[in-house]
Parts: sequence; structure tokens; C-alpha cells
Amino acid sequence: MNTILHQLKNKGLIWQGSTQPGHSPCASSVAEDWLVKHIPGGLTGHPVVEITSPEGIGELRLLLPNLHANGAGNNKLIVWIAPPHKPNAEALHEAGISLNRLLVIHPAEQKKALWAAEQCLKSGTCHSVLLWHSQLSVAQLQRLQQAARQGQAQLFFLRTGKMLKLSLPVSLSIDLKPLPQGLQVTVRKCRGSWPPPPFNLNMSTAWPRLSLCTASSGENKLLAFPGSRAS
Amino acid sequence: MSQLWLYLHFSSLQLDSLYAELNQPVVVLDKAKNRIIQLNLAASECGIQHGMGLGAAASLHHNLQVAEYQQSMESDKLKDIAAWLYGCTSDIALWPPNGLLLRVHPMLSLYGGLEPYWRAVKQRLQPLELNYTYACAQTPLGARILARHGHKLISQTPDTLDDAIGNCPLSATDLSTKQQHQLSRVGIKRVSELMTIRADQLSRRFSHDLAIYIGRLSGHFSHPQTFYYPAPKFRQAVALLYGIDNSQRLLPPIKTLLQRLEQFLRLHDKLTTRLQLHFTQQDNSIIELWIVSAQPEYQAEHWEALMTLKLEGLQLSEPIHSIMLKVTELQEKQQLYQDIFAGKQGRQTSLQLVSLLQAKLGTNAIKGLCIGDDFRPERASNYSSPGFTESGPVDWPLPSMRPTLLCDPPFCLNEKVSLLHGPERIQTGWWDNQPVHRDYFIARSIQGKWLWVYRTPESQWFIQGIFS
Repeated sequence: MNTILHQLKNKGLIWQGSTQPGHSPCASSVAEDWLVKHIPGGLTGHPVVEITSPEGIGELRLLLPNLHANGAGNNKLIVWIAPPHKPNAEALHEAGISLNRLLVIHPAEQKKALWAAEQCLKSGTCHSVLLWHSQLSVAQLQRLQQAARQGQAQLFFLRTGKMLKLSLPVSLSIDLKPLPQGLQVTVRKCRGSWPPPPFNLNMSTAWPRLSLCTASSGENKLLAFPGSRAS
Repeated sequence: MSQLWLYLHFSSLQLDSLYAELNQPVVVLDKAKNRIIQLNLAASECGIQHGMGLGAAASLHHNLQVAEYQQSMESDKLKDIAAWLYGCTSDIALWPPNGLLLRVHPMLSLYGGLEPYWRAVKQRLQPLELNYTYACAQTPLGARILARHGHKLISQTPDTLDDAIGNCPLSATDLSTKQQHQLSRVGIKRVSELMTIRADQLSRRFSHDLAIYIGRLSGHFSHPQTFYYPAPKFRQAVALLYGIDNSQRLLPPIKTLLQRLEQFLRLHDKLTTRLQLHFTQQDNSIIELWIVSAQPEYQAEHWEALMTLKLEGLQLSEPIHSIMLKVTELQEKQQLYQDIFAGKQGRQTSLQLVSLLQAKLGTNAIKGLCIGDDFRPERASNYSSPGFTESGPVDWPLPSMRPTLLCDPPFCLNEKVSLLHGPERIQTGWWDNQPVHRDYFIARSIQGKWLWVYRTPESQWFIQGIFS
């Protein structure tokens, strides 16, 4: 094989179309991983998920079923590193996330945030790490990915910023845009396959009050969000 | 059964306990008399001898390291040795500044004789790397005289021991120089000559003190000892021969302290969560450092990792001259539970992870989250210390439709939003002087942001949360 190609493949910069990601952070597959229809592997099958989204459109609500499923049946931690605001205990409790297994870390500098993320990921005691960070280099992300594999944890890397020109070696990268009834999801990169076309996600079943009911029914390709909530 | 005592004389205790490199000549100087009283091998190879003045010694080697003799340091070190020896022998009496007296005869049946006993003691002393002389005798003072005279004598035979003591010169005894002078004037130069004089004559011709001393030496008088009892707390210091001003270079001496702590904790079968370090600077000011671990630990390795992180942030303005490690809170060992089927996937437990993060980022940077029983949103969601304790069940009805992120404190609403749901009125807090009177709405900004806003009676609008 071409050595350059080989090196690139080892670094995870290129991959072959047919290979399936061999990583599963949680033994029990997430029944509610509704994205699996649209994204190969869903959200669960990727150790590092990059989410680029404006703040407040539902990017965390999108993750809540997954975070709940990651933590179900084990005694591991979920860590929030440098969230832009204070996480609301009531909302998280309602989403089924156990608060006594939750850590919120406010590092003084961004460099320390990365250090903390790496420690949490590779400790083997965390199931998910949510990291808000503006800039990550390829090398930093590779380290985090390595740590996530080592500790069998999942890293959600949330960015509000502009699109990076550089493609980061993440396994899944999605862009979110607000829609009246939910979100528009654009998969920029999905390891193991071609990125699927953009699709719209209807969150009005799960969050009836957080969607504009007057939206036209002409929207195509609507996908129902799982009805996990009682209210 | 006759008594048997063993005396250990540490002739260069201060020198041995100094943290210094071996290949350099080091001497300990008695400042008052300007005499060198302890020296290491490298120093004696240069021709330096006991009793030399500092000037003479310094002229023999250009790079001679000199430490001032401090009796208190030796006494402290003596206690450490006693604590360490306590693991293999029970009755230890301290003879400060540099002697330990062991009561041997009750231990003989345990070890099956003097030889195995001595082997055990010797083995125990080996890791401390100290220079010492030792001797057995039937009285404490007899053993002391022999050991201080430089004997290395392990024996139970009364005749051998008596002969050895008798051959010692008076200078090996604890008699004052005045008494020694007095005795040598009447021709008494050795202990054996002194022993032949009858006790009543001794007190008549010399002094009562001398008669008591001889009585104790010969075993006619009893000589009660106060035995050492191990301290319940750990407190050890290490003196540095030269000042260290780089915090990274402090790690090796701290490592030795941590290893001693590990031994201490293992002997006591205890764990600890907090270490206290005192660094003494040149001007005698003290830097205090706490190292906290969320999970109780005893292993030096674990503490070392935390210490490395803690030292990274330490700025030293002056060189450090001595380090003291103190542990005051001890905990019982508890069984740690682990999922046997899930196995061990990482290297740490969650508490170890928290300790690690706290050591690097500071204690306040790591928080937990808990629900408070209050209608006010800012009080319903609280930061707490990360303890992973099973909090009580939430037995009050929780409101639904709460944002995932809370703005704390709320900030003014400056953009155009459309109100979609509400109002939900929260009016409470009149009892604790922080009354709240708000009407909450779910709003959507033009950019598609879902906000949780409220209106005060004064019609001011604030953003309290984001439905992220």
C-alpha cells in the first residue's frame, strides 16, 4: 500500500467507505437513537461528536436522550466542561440524568479545559463529556479521541462559532440550524460513510411548547423526536 | 531471669538525616566549640577528622558542605527511628539526642533468642541508612557506655559484657569532666577500677550522684525507663542541606517523606484525605500547602501525582530549607465496591478523578449539581461540592418545561422576541427577604433561540434561561 495513504489512514484523516466504526461506548444500544435512520451509527456509535450550532436552538435537548442512555445501567459520570451558563438541575433531572453523577468544571483557561477533558475521558469513570470550546487543533482533537477510546467515553464537542475551514478528525460532525418546528441537521462528516443529505428534525412531539405549531405541513422529510416525556 | 538491654548509638544522626548528595564531603559543625563532630565518608577521605576546626577542614577541601549542629533535629529524628523500630520491638526508651535503648529480655522468647532478635532489628534499621554502634548489657547504662565507646557487641554472657564494660575508659561514661578529673587524680582510669570501690565509700569520698550512677551501672540500683509510645499522628520533617528554589526540584525530598507516610499509614492500617506541607524558607517564613484527595489514600504513588500538579502552581520567592509533612486526620479503611462484571475499564475511580482535577484546577473549579426545594429558579438549581453522595429522593412536584441552561444572574432582554407561552407566575420568597414576583414566558428570538424570559411588576424584562 502507498505509505502516505497508510499513514493518513492510521491518523484517521481518511477512511474507507465500507468500514464500520468498531466503537460502542455503551453495551446496550440506545433504543431511542432516532438519528440512526439518517446518520450511520446514530449519535451513539461515535466516540467524538462535534456539534456546531447557534446557542439556544435545542442543541442540548437533541443530546439529552443520548446522555440519559449513556448513563443508564452504569455508575459512571457525566462531565460538563466550561458550559456557557449554569446547567439547570431541574431540567436535567426531568430528562433522567442522575445529578449525583454529574460534574461541572469551570477551568480558568481553555488549555486547562482540554486537560480536564482528557483526564475525564481516559479515566474510565465518565460515560459522556460535554466540552464547550472555541478552537481545537487537529492534534488536540486526536488526543481527546484517543482518550475517549481508552476510557470508553463519548465526547460531545460543542461550538457556537463559525465553520472551521479545517476539517477536524472527529467521527461525526453535524451543523444545526433552527427551524420553526425543530432543527435542520447537516452532517458534515460521518466516519465510515458518505455524509447523508441534510434533513429536518421535528421536535414538536417531545417539546410541544418549543415549536411553532403554525408551521406549514408542507415540510418534507419530518422525523418525529421520541416521545419520552410525560407532559 | 536477668535483664538484657540493647543500646543503639547513632553517631552521625544529623548528617545521615540530611538530604544531600553522597559524593560531596559534608560535615556537621558544633558552632559553639568550632569543632567538627560529624562527617561523611567523602569528607574523611579528604583527611578531615573529628574535632577539627572549621578553618582546618575548609582548607582540606574547597567545596566542603557545612551544616550547623542542631540537637533538636536529632531528637526529632530519634523519634522517627523509634516509631519505625516499634514495628519489631516493643519497649523502646529514647535517650536524646542520639541514643535508643531497647529492652531485649521480654522479646527473646518471641524471637527465639538474641541472634534472631538482633537480625530482625538490624534488618528493620537497614532501609534508614544510618550509621550506628550497638551493644548489649545487663543494665541500661552498661549498654550505653559500650555503644558510645564504639562497640558492636551482641552477647548474653555476663562475663564478656562485664569485661567489656570494665575495659572502657571513664570518658565513655556519663560522668562530668570534673568528676572524671577527680577520679583520674586518684588513679582511676577505667570503669572496672571504679566498680571495685564500695558504694558507701564512693558516696563518702566522691559524691552521691556518682554512687547512684555506679549503682545503676552495676545493677544494684534499679534504673526506671520511660518507654516510647507511638504518636497517633504523622509529622516528619526533612532538612535540606542547600536551599531549593525550584519547585520541581522539591519533589524528590517530598517523595521520601511520602514513602515514610505510606509506611506509617500501612502500619496503622489507616487512610487519609489531607496532607499538610510546611516549607520553611530562608527567612524562616513558612509556606503552607494542603493537598486534598477526595478518595482516602495511603499510597505514596497516588499522593505523588497530586503533589506534582500542586507544585506546578507553586511560586517560590526564597529558597526552601526544610520540608515538613503533617497528617492529622486519619480514616479507617473501607471496602471499595466495584462492579465485578463491568470490570475495571479505566485506571481511576470517580473520586480519584475528582482529586486529580481539584489538584490541578483548584477546588472551586469542580462542582456538582443538586436540586433545591424552592420555586425560585436560581435556588432550585444549585452547585454543590462533588461528593457523589446519594441525595434524598426529590419528593416535591417538579415544574416541567424548564430550560437546560440558566443565566445566573439573569440579564436584560435586549432583543425582539415573540412570546409563545405563558405567563407562569412565580411569587415567593417573602419570608427570607428575597422576594420574587415574576411572570415567566417562553419566547423565541428572531434567530430561532428559545428563551425563558420574565417580566417584573415594573415591566422590566429579563432572560433567565435558555432552552438549549
